[in-house]
Amino acid sequence: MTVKALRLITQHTMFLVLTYGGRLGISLGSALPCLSCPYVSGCGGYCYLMALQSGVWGLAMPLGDMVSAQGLEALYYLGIFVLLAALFNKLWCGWICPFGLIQDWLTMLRKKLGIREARLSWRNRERLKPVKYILLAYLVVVPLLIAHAGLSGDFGLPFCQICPAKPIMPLFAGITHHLALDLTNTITLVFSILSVGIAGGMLVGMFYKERFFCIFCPMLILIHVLKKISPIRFEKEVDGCLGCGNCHRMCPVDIRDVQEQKTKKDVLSEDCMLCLTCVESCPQDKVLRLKFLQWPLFASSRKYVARHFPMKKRAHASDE
Amino acid sequence: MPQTNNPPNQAGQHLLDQVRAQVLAEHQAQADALRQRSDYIPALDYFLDLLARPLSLEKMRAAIGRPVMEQLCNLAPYELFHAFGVHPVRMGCGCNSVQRLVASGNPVLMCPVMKSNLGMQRLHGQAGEEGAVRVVPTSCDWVVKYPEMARQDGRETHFLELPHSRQSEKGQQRWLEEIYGFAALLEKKTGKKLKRQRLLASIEAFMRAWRALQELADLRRRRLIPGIFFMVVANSFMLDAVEPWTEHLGQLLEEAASRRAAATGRGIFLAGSPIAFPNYKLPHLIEEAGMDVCADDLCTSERVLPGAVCYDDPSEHGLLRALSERYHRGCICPTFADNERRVNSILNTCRQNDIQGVVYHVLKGCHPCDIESVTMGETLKQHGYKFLRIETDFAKEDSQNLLTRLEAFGEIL
Repeated sequence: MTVKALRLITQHTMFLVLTYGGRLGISLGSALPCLSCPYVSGCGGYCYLMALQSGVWGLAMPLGDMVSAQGLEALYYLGIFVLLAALFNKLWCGWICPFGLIQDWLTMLRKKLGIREARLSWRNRERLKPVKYILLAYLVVVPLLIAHAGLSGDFGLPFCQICPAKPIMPLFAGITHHLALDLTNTITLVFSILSVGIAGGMLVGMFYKERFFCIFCPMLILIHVLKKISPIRFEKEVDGCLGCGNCHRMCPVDIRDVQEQKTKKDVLSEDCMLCLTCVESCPQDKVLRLKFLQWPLFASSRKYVARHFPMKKRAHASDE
Repeated sequence: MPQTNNPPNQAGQHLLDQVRAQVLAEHQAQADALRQRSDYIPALDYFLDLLARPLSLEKMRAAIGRPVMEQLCNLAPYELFHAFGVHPVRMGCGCNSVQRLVASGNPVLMCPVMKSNLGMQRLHGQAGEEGAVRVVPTSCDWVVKYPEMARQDGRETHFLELPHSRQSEKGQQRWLEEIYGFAALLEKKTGKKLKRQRLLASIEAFMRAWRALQELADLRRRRLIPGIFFMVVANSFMLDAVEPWTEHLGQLLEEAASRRAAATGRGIFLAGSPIAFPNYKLPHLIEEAGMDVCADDLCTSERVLPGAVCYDDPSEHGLLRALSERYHRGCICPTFADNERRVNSILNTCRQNDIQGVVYHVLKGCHPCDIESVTMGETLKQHGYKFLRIETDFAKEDSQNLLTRLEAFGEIL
C-alpha cells in the first residue's frame, strides 16, 4: 500500500468520524487542531479556533471570567489543543482535517477532468504567506476588543464568520442555512455576504489550486509554533539531495524550502501539512524522513519511486 | 529540403571504403572481446548486436518502422518524441577509426565524441531527407557548433536552448517554454496533435525502461554483473524501440540474477565524460588494473535515462512540466552553473555501496567535465575518498600509461 493510499483511507475515516461521529456518540472534544466545523450538527469534534475566539473558553471572555473556574476550563482546552497539536503536529492538516479532504476531492475532480493546476509564481507565493498571520491577528484581536473595548458582540467568532468551512461543511449534514444572508443587522449581513462570497471564491480557488485554502489557514501557525516540542520530525539529509525539484513540484502548497535547504536537517516549514507527497516522490534513498522522535516512520527511496510512479498503470497506446 | 551532402574534406571513395572496413572491424572486435569473456551472459547478445552495427539512421528507420530523429544529447525528452510516434536516437559515438574522415577542417582538440559522430555522418553520407530534423539541446559548446561543423548536410537543426541555471524560476520557466516549442515542432513535423493519454503512455513506457535499468544497476552495485556489461546495455538504449529493449533487459535481469556470477575487482565509481561503444578502453583498463566500475554517473550509462518522471498534475501542462523539470532540474550534467549538489550523488552512492574510490574520466576537449574535475576531486578527497583524474581520448596509444596509473590507484584503495 502506498502512503498516498493510506493517507486517503485515514482522511476519509476521519472525515466520517468528525462529520457524523456525534450521531454515534463520538465526541473528540472542542480543541481539535483541524477545521472540524462546529456548525455541522452531529459532528464528532470541534475546531479549536472556535473555542479560542469564543466568550466562553476563549479570548472574548471577560476579565472576571478569566480568573474564575471558567478561566481554568479555558486553560484546560488550551492544554488539550497543545497536547494534540504537539503529538501529531501537521499530520492534523494532511491526514485528518476534513476541510482538507474536501479540497483534495476538488483536486481529484480537476485531475479527472484533465484540467491543469493554476500556478503561483514564486514571488506571489511568498506574498501570500503573511495572509494567514493577518487572519490569526484578526481572530485574536477582535475577540479581545469585544471583551475589553466594548466592540459589538455581533463581531463574535470573527474568523468562523468568514471561514469557508462554515457554509460548506454543514452541507454534508444537510444544513443549508449558512448559505443564506443573515438580515438581523448590518454587521451580520456583511458577515454573511463575506462568508458566502469567500466560500464561493475559495471553492473556485481550491478547484484550480490544490489545497488553496491551506495557504491562508491560521491553524497552520498555531500548530507550527508547537513544532519544537512535537515528537514528529520531518528531516532531510542535506548531503544527499540532488535538487531534482520533485518535492517542490509535487507539493500541494508549493513549498520550496525542502528542496532549497542545504544546511539544516529540520525541513518542517510553517506551510507544510505533512502529506508526505515530497517524501514519496524523492528518488534519493533516505534523504527525506518522517520520524517519531528517533524512530523512522517513512523515508524516501528510489525503489519506492520506481514501484509507485507513474501513479496509474496504463496500457501502451498503439503505435500510429 | 534539397539534399546537399557535400563532405568538406572531399574524402575519396577509396578512403571511405577503407574507413568503413576499419569501423566495422572496430565494432566487431569490441563485441567479440566481450562475447569471449568467461563471465559473458548470453542474454547480452541482443544488446551487443545493436551496438555492433555502426549507427545508420536509414537502417534504423527501416528496422524500427518509425520516423527517426537524431538528438545530440539526451536532455531532449524521449517521452515527447515517443508520444508523437517518432524515435529519437542519440548520436553519441565512441568510434576511433572514423575520426580520420574529419581530422582536417575541424579544431585539433575537438571533443572525440563529436569527431566520431561527424565522421560517422560523413561515412554514411546521411543526407537530410525531407523534413529531417536534428534536435540539439545546447548543453555544451561542441553540440552548439555541431551543425556548423557538419556543414551542408541538409538537415534542419532545432536548438533546445538550455538554461544553465536550473534552480531559478526563470531558468525552469525558460526550459518549459523550450519544451512547449519542441512539442509544437513535433506537431508540425508529424502532423499529429499532442495527446495527453499518449504522453502518459510514453512516460510509462520509459518508466518501465528506467525501472529495469535500475534493477540492473542494483545488480552491478551488488557486484553480480561486471560494470562493463551494464555499459553495453545502457549504450544500446534507443538503438531499438523502447518496448523490445525493455523486454530484453527483463530477460537479461532474470538470467543475470540466476547466474550469480560476481564481479571480482575492487568496486569504484566512474564519473565524468561519456563513454560510448566501441570505445571501452577505460573500462577494460580499469578491469585490468583489478577494479570494477560498480556505479557511474555518465550520461551514456547510468544517466542515459533521466530517472522517474513523477507528476501530480496529469493535465497536459502538468505532464510537460514534470518532463521538463526531470530533464532539466533533475539533471546533474557538469554543464550546469548551479551544480554543487552533483557531488552528493557520488558521495551517496559511494557511502551506500562501500565504494572507496572515484575515477573521473575527462575526454580531451570536454571542457565542463575538465573544469568540474578539479572541484569534484577536492570535495571527494575532503570526504575521505580516493580520486583519480584520467584525461584521454579514443586513441589506444596511452593505454599502458593509463594502466600504470590505474594499478597504482587500485593499490591505495
